[in-house]
Amino acid sequence: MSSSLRRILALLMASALMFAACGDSDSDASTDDGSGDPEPSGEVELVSAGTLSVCSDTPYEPFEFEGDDGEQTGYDIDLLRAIADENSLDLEVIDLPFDGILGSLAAGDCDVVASALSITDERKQQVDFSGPYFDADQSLLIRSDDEGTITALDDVTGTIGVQSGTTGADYAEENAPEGAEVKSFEDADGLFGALTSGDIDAILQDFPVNAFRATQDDSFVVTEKFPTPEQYGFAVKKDNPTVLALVDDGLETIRANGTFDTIFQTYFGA
Amino acid sequence: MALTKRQRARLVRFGVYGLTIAFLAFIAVKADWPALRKAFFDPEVFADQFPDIVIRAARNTLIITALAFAIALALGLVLALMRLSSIRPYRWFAGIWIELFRGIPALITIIAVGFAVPIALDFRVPGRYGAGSVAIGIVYSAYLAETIRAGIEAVPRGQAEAARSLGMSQGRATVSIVIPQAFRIIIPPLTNEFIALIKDTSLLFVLGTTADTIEITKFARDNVNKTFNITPLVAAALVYLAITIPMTRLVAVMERRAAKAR
Repeated sequence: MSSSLRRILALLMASALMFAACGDSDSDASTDDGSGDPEPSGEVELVSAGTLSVCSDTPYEPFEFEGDDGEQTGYDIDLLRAIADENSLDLEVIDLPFDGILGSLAAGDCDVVASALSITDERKQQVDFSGPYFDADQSLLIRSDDEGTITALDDVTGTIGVQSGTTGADYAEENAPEGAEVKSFEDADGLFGALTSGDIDAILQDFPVNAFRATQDDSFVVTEKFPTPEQYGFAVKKDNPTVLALVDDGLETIRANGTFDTIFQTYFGA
Repeated sequence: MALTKRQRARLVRFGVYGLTIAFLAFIAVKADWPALRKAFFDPEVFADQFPDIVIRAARNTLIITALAFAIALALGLVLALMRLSSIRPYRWFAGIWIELFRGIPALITIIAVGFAVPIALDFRVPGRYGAGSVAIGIVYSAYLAETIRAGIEAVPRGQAEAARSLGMSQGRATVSIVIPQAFRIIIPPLTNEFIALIKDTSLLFVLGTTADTIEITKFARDNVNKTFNITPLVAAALVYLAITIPMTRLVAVMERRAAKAR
């Protein structure tokens, strides 16, 4: 047949394929199955059957980081791995930037967000939280050279570094002294790099993270700790009771059988 | 069946129009418009973006763009001349610079200038827009160098020869006669580079942002996370277009005038 007729036919077929593909995208993401699981607690709607998908901003030692064996590990990850094991599930960790990580739940990228996430009323509007699993404090990290001049947040005259979207960022915005500037970074690595390079004079973020870094790096020292009533929780998509129950029941189980304490001792044992 | 050329052409056109209309109708019917509007164009969230997105964010974007482009142009011109120079070390240096900064992702260069250089050499670019502008300026100097070099080479040799025969020195001839004509020739690719540069300012978030230096994309992303809505990104896209489209129009006018001058 003539070439223009062939062209028309090709166009028609291509558009027919396109319409067929578009038709499928109407189906709900939430009907993604997990229903094949032999769950004692009933059918759990997981993003990927048989696997507990976790979104986290790594590295953020000691809560989530890559261990020597190449596997993701850390306080948050180990707790969830224990919960997954209790439910005969695999664990998959997806690395995302912290700022906006809660959006990944609505987008269907993962079942749980575990990223040293503080439970706040603002966040509760967007997601549901499990019970708390860690008491959080903020702290100030400085270069060891400045140890004499900076003893508290009020002593900072230059720039305070924070991570975007964290409660530490909010704390700094509210409590920074006059004349000090607050600079937001995408991740903890950028913060440590900026402190080393002299771009900022102090980092305000979670105490365990600053403290861990200070043990690894002599050039940093934690100079102040701010106790807060904040606690970390695991976040799940709103109105997803099966996954929420899985996490909460799992936490209860591992607290009862001692796994929780063992993991806590591993990372925060005296 | 044997179709005449005209019949065939008409059939093809009819088919394409028909498919386009069918496709648009399909979208119009199948799309969930209320949900789309809520997620992408919530009027309240959209209105909330202004005026800050223009007064603070767009202003910073434009300042950084201006600084970076000035640096890129100055460096690019020097590099182009070095590339064309008869002195071999100049050619090598320029060649290496261009290959390096064209071949490495802009993000890596930005991180290097913002973190690696200060840590390694204890040298920080002064000014609140300093590191970002210099980094982007360096990246684009590599692209502009090649563009300017092409422009210089496109100027007819006769121009330089005529200038020399009138008694001008090589330097004078280059500066007064060749370079101005070269720039007139490369206005279209230069505009492309400029527009690409405007958009690459969105990479500067890695260097950390303060309330005073926040640029459009970071501003929008922060608001996306605060409002749990994608509308701020739509607002940001419109602001970028509001900057780039008049630019292309302006350049089209300049091009027409330049063409008339010839």
